[in-house]
Amino acid sequence: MAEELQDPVRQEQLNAIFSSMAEGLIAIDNDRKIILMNQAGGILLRTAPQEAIGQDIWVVLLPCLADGRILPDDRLPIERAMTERNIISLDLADDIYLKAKNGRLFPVAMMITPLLTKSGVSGAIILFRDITKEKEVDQAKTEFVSLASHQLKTPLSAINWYSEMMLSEEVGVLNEKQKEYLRQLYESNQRMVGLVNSLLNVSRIDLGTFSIDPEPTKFSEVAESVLAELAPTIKTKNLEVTKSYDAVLPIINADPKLLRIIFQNLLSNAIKYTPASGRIGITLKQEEPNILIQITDSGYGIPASAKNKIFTKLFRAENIRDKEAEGTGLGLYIVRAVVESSGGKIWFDSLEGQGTSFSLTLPLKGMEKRSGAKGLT
Amino acid sequence: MTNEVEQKIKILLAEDDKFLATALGDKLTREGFEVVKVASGQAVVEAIKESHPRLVLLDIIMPQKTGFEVLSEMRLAPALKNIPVIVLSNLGQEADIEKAKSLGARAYLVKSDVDLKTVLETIKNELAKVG
Repeated sequence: MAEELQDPVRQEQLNAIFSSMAEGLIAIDNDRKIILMNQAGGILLRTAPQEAIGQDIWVVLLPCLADGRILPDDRLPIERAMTERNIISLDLADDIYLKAKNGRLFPVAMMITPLLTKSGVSGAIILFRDITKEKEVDQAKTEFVSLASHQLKTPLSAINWYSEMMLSEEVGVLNEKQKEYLRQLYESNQRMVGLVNSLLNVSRIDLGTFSIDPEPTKFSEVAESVLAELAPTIKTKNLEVTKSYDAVLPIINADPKLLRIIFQNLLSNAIKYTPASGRIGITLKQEEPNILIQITDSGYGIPASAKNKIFTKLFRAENIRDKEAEGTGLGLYIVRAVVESSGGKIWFDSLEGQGTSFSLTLPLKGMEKRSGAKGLT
Repeated sequence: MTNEVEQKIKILLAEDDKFLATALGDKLTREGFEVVKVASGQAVVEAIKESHPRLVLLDIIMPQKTGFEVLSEMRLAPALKNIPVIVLSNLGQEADIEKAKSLGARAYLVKSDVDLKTVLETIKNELAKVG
């Protein structure tokens, strides 16, 4: 206060800066009480700045999920910024919303900085803005991906069918080289179909429009059928497969399609990222109240620097990009979305050069049905 | 020979993509079927009435009229409702499949996920069911 009195011009300037900012700005003290809020913040939250001062930050600024539920405790970004003394930046990808006093829920981008003074952390500064527009653009992008992927399927089907007819030699005999080239064409096209299906799955996840259709499912059967599909590659690479299934596993009410996506992605990753003559393992185990699924490999491993990003859409770790050209960076993103929306958890341990172990749990009580939307393929 | 021609089973193929229509048409013709091709949803029901096919292969997304609408119309026409329909579409969602089946489709195949061999087997299966 003493300084303020000494320099009213400076104070006037600061006030003008705060109130002219387009972003909302809130400063809090160590007790999480608001010590300052600018005009833009007041407009966004529908709370008069002078009213907000002295109030608990959680009363005024509540980070929510898209459906209006309050963000679970461990993710409260403000607490993280203050305890970790770190700048926390939340954007479109974090999918966080704020609820204004009048109930309006809006998507938000936030930057939270610990307020550092000589004596240490004395609070935090929260800078935020409404990203409804960005969200709309993102939505349009996702819808475009969905539409484009769908359109791509028609010519892909044509390539499939014509190469299939030629390969079966129903219109004439082919020489060995012609057959080999056609087979390459056919297989590349199959890869493209797989990629388009992944893109469609991602757009459904991003749009929140994928359904869950649980039915009584034997997990070991799904695992075995995926393994059977992957058997040719396992054989070519001469990999040793160790299976460890509990002798008695309960039948769980789960969506077999989604379960397939989980096994398919984790097992094909294990195979792809393990050098020839390596080992892969699959475990199914009852661990009340969950079933535990583990997929291990003796492969290239995930570098420490990549561990935070491994589930991020389109991310591929440096060490495997040179070794395996094939891969989209979509698989684990899809798997995590599926596991989490089914009430499960997924994590991993990995040492570069030694191998990786992915673990996930799904509740024994099963997945909850989610309908009126679209399934993953 | 004339006898054989007369005995050919007629299949109506409703598909607006000419590449896919040619592939399917050629395959079915080689397999001994007689194929009637229609490229718009609007024309399907008329064509069925005229050509009396034993089975219909139906796309969903077509100009003017969707496959769903065609199915609904067929169901209302006593002469058409017993002709088996196999939907062949790139819409592969549970909701689409359920909708088509509730409208009377006997089978539902996703184009990008099936080979022609499977399409053919499905056709033969359905024909065997109606005898």
